[in-house]
Amino acid sequence: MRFSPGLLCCLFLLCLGAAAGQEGQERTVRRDENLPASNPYTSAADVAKGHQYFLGHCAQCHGPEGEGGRGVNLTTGRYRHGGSDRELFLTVRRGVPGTEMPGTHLSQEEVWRIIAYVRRLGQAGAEEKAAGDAQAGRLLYEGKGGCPACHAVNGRGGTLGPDLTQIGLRRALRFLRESLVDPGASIAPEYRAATVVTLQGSTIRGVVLNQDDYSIQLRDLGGELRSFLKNEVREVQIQKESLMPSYRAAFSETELNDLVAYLNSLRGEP
Amino acid sequence: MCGVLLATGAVWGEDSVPYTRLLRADQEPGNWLMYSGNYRGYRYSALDQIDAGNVGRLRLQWIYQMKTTHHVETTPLVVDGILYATRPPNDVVAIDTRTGRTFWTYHHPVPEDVHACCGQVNRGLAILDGRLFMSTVDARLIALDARSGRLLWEAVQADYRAGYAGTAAPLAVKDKVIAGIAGGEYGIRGFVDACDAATGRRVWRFYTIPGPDDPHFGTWEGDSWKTGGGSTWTTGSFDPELNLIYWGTGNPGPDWNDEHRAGDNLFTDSMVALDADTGKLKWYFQYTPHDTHDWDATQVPVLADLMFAGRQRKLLLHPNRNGFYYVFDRRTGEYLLSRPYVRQTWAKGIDARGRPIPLPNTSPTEAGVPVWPGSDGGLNWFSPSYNPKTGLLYVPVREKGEIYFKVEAVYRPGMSFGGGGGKENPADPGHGVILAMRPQTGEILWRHRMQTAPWSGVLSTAGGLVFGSTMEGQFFALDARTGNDLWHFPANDVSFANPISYLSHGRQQVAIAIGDVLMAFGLD
Repeated sequence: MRFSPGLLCCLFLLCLGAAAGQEGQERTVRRDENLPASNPYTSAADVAKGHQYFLGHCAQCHGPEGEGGRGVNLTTGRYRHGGSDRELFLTVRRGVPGTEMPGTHLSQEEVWRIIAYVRRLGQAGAEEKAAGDAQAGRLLYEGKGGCPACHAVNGRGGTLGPDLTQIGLRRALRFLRESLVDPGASIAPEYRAATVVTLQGSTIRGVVLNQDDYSIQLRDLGGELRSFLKNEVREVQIQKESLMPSYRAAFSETELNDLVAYLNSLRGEP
Repeated sequence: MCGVLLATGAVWGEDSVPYTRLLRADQEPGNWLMYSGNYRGYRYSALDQIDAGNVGRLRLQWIYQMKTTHHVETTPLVVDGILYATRPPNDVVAIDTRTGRTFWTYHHPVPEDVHACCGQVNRGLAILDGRLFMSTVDARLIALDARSGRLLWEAVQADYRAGYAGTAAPLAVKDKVIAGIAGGEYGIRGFVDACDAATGRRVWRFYTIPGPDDPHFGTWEGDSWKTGGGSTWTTGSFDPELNLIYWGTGNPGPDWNDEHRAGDNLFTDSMVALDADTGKLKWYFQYTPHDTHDWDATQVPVLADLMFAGRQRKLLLHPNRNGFYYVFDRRTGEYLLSRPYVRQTWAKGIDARGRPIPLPNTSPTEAGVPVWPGSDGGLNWFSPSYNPKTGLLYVPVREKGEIYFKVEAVYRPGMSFGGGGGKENPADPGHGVILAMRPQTGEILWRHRMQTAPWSGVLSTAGGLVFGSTMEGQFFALDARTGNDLWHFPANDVSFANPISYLSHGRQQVAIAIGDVLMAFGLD
């Protein structure tokens, strides 16, 4: 299956511009020294402006309506890294270390307006409840789906695909479903696939671990680490599609729901 | 303690590097499977593609930039073309030996309040059954999946806030991982741990300072044994036939102030021979009873089977930090020989049982006392090399004295508990030497002088070479028979590491870390 990796979960806003370097962080810390406890920018105009910023900086991962995707669903009104205005502000400002969510250099006013919009999204109080049966999904995961061959949960399973131990914390339901039926729709850079054809004509497929102009390093489908000089092979092809097969045809609608429910239930320690 | 913090999982490649491969490490010189290359502590490569005739054409093949300000003391492992190295404090990288490109990187988060006496360093890894093992500066032993870098388990050995730290490469023996502990300057009570390689569960622990239930208890004044040091911060050796692990122990604490620790202070500054299955003590030898000079016995023990005084014996060779070279029968611990290998001014000699006869006025004082060797010793943690082809032991040596002083020592958990130190002696800036020694006698056959006392070890090869590096960052090759300087490469940064050699796609490489760069050399 295709999900992005990450050691810790990322529960809140993703994609707010470039991550701050150390110097930048010092600058932003100084800028945020006298941060008020509550959001001073909450008017309808602020919310509207915040919506625009959100579309530009956050929606790519959290969805245009905050419904979640690669990033978590923001319409539930629950925030893992703290729900006070000040905590929300700092989460957006600093990002979540160890996850895909970066910090931002946006001005205080702009961050506050985003918070105002996020609050509005959270008022929906939506429940992200999976329709399927997680227990049945677990059986599918371990049996018919053959997922542990490539993915690990709580240390058990393969390493060709991302670790799924906390995937239920990090991904919205719709993204989980999309990953099952259309794995190529969003491939994390760490899990790009490549095919190498040797001069003798044999083909090696695997996940790209590293490459430069002269060589490429793969984890092949058997889990072995492989390195090739590009001038010693016939072809190196970086694939657009995922190594993970689509389960659109393999699973019924009910089975897909069950599997999504199981994945959504994975919220353990890494 | 030693609680396992993460459930273990299945390991891909669990069939790779089984114990049988480690036992026969000498038979696959294309790999470097453990810290010293084999269980005997040889740091010897049977590869001979690079020799005295062609070493002049040795070229840099690739570098790996660690981008760290910590000292890089790592000895990498190489398994079937993949090099595994630690990057300080406790990251691990898997590198393609042909290109120097990384396959994966593991990052171990280190708490901000770690106090390691001598920097947040790490000397390397062990491997067994597809798992890599590393000690961490926050006193954990961890296991990674060698193919993916995934964390499999981590076992807490001790409380790092009390000064315990893991810096040595572990040693994989049978189904266990043997790991020492650092912290001899912080009033720890040292130990050697054996943990189950598959789960991290601790199987045995040997305390280097005996407790009240031990027949060897009673060599410390009052309760001073509780904070007596005896760290175990360099990788030991193993004799599978005798089923004994040999591990050197560190200084008593406080290092330089002995006012409240009268007695021999067992088992500090000792060699201990432990049963590999149980951790039970088979024999011990204390080099420097009641040490006041910080002369840890944590030099790599070299296990060689040689003719000694007319008969074949299983020997343990040990150039000790106190300036004397020692030979033992490693079956019984019988002391056979000692001989100074650097200038020493602290002992009148060594008696028939191996106990030194200290000279008066050589212990530290408030005003300071000049003594040779210095606190860092004749040899420190960095490795010697035994070459079975030349039959010689090569030792990188610090020819340097220091002015030893003492100050008050008060124990506070996690705080320095040294009680003094060694200062540069303006009359003697010191220098370095690579010695070639006949191991049965300690006779020195040749000396290669270096400008500065070194902090890096040597590797000898079947190609008749001895590789080493200087404090100025010159990586060099000497003729193993004559000591003649055959080649050098100006890496131009301080060197705190040991070299290794292996095959990459059938071609011999020699690798070492200098500065914060790991570099591999080979013939074009």
